[in-house]
Amino acid sequence: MKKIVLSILAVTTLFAVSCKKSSNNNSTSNVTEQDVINDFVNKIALPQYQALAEKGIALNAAIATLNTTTNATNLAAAQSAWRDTRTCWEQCEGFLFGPVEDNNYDPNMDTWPVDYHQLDSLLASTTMTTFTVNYVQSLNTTLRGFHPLEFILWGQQGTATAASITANEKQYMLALSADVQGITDSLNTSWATTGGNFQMQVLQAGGGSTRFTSKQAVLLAIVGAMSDICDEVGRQGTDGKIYDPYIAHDSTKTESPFSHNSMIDFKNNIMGAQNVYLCKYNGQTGSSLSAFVAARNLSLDNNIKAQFTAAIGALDNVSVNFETAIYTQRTQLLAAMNALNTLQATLDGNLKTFITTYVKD
Amino acid sequence: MKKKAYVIGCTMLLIMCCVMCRKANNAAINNDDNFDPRLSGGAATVFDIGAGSFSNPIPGLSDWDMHIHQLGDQVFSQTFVAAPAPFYGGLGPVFNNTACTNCHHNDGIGVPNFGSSVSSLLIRLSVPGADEHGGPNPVPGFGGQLQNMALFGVPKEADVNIAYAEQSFTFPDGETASLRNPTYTLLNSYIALPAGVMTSPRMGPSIFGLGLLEDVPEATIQSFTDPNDANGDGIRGRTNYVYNPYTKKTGLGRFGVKANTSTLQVQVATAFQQDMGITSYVQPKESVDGQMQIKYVPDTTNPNIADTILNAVVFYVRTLSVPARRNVTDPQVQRGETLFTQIQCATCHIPTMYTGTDVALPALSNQRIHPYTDLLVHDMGAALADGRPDYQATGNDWRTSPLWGVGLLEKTNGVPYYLHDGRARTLTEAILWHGGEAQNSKTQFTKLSKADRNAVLAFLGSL
Repeated sequence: MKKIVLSILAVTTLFAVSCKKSSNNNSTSNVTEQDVINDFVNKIALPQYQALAEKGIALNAAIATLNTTTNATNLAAAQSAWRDTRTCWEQCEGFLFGPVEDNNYDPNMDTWPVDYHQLDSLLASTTMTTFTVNYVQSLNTTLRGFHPLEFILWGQQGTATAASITANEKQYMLALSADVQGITDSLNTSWATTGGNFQMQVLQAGGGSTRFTSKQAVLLAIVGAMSDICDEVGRQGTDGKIYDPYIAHDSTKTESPFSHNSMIDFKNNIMGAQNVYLCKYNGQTGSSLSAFVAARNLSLDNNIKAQFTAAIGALDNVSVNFETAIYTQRTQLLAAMNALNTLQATLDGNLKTFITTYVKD
Repeated sequence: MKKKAYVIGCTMLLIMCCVMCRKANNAAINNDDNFDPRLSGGAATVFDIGAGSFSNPIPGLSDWDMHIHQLGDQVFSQTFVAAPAPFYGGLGPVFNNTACTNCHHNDGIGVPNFGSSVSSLLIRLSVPGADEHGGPNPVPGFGGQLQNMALFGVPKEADVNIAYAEQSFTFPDGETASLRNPTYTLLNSYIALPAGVMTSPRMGPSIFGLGLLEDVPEATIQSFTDPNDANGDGIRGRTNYVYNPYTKKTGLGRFGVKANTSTLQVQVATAFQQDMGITSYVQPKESVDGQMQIKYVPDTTNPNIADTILNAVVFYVRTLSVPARRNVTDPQVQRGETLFTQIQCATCHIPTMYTGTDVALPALSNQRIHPYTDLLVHDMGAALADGRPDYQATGNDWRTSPLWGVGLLEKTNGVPYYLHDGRARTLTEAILWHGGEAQNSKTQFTKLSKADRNAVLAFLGSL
């Protein structure tokens, strides 16, 4: 009898300790799933798309200035504006779902590699003076957006100077930047209440949204987008942004080869996803997915945060541009892909499982 | 004696087993009780309700098969460029779009318009008569498909304008709907189009589950036919036997809106050739063969894509899984499913069938699937008719469109469109366009109460 009582006591104590341990480990945040959704919209998506639209305007203005006064200072300013817009856009790719995908805003402004053959034909054309933004919009995606503009601003070998920009290139770059501005504006408008109002599809998930019939669905879409961008950059297999040129030892297969901005692109992609997880952008914070997870599974939250830090750190460890690193820093690139794979597996696995476990409505 | 009893016993047991098997099989086809109704693609079903729900590989692929699937996925997503180019060259010189994924957004549909990167519509062309294989007679100078885009400096074949006329429909209970009736006009053709050209607008369809449909035994599809309406239900499903340009043989058409293609290999290779101007070992001729635009092709002797690349894309399409159904226990959905059968929608949109044996891909092999199609062509009435025969499919005929995944189109595509040319903006509109053999079902649908119509729509939304 005594043995039985002791056993019961032991088991009860064990359970109590287990429960206590679990309870103590998790945070006491009372962030709800709706809070996470609201602040994803208001602190992440809307401000970033707004910022992107503003960058698009600034880029277009810088290109106009370069066209009017084509000198080294204005070329550098235009290149800087291009990089600024890219930074914002690549971070927005951390939540690539909704109109950006539905309406092909992404491929319309960010297709690569460019179509060199047709670019040459366009730039050699004698009819370029009639070249308008409407005409650019009728072209293939390989002749629209950031990368043909990059081609002009830096030159195919990265050696463009203000003096080397031709009259045709000027016409083309004006139309290209106006097109990019139009796309970033349309993207911003697609989420605005005064435009496509996609924000309501997200905010009303499970409560009238036709796109997301549950809060779980929208949170899975958010996590899916985070996972997808980590996969796109870090996948050690076909179509990996790093892997494809890495395995082929081919620096012509990279995303931003003329400006050598590819490593920065990659880092901004992952920072964009990290911003979503932490609900942190431009000095503002909000009710984050991280806090929601931490309240229920602190260990998972710590893992995800550490893996984001590790992945971004691994990308930072590549000290030369990507086109060079493919040949000279292969160990660092492999480490970066490994870190991204680890992060992606956690997002796609444990975090999605967490969402389906804890978000039922 | 013992031996005799043993033999008789074994024989009896064998007969019993055979009888039981037969009984079980018959019961299985007609009764979902022992099956999970969510598994639309059997073992090739994936539970995903997001924007990527059409884009999952079938479960259980080997590492190598997954590699080939991903390679195909990469090529499917890739924007092709003009030759010569270090990567993905061969686009054009005339084309309809520059990447497979532009017409099959997220492996679903595209947008029913012409001339932009999201445009998913194209126009098939022919003149009266038939080609040497019984197929559509190509238009001299244009071929069998109009390419409305071209490389810089190359004359495209023509532009296409769509004008929609809204026409209202009033249900017996007073509710109204508006149907948009399209008119397609060819403009600015690079040479004059001959008189009597027949046109057929077609929108890129969803591409998941096609490996399963390819594995449905021909005998199963034949068993659905009733060309003379022997059972008197007004439905006359017919097969369309079509020419395979690779095997040089005739085969049962399963794919395409008129069941005008027999294999995924030909479907994919022809899309490369006709939609993007990219040649392969299956379709080695340029789409502008015999036209003036051929002079813009730098190399007409070698295929634009390697055999392995074409094979990888075919494999990719073959191995896309089917999304699982949702809300199958919802009473409204269940009511809708009952009505769907009662008003004879299920006579053509056949819910359940089995695939045959596929020794290479177990997830496709001998699967109980729910595609909601009979893969046959039917007269769908004058309002939908294109007036352009395609092998045995007449100008009024269309293949029964599979309905699996139809409830997820808004998620994969943002704005969903339905029917062969995307004219229908809602499922209700799609139903209201049904005529011909489906006229009776449509009429019955319109006579349902509003609640019951909503139940049918809820059921379709669960697919």
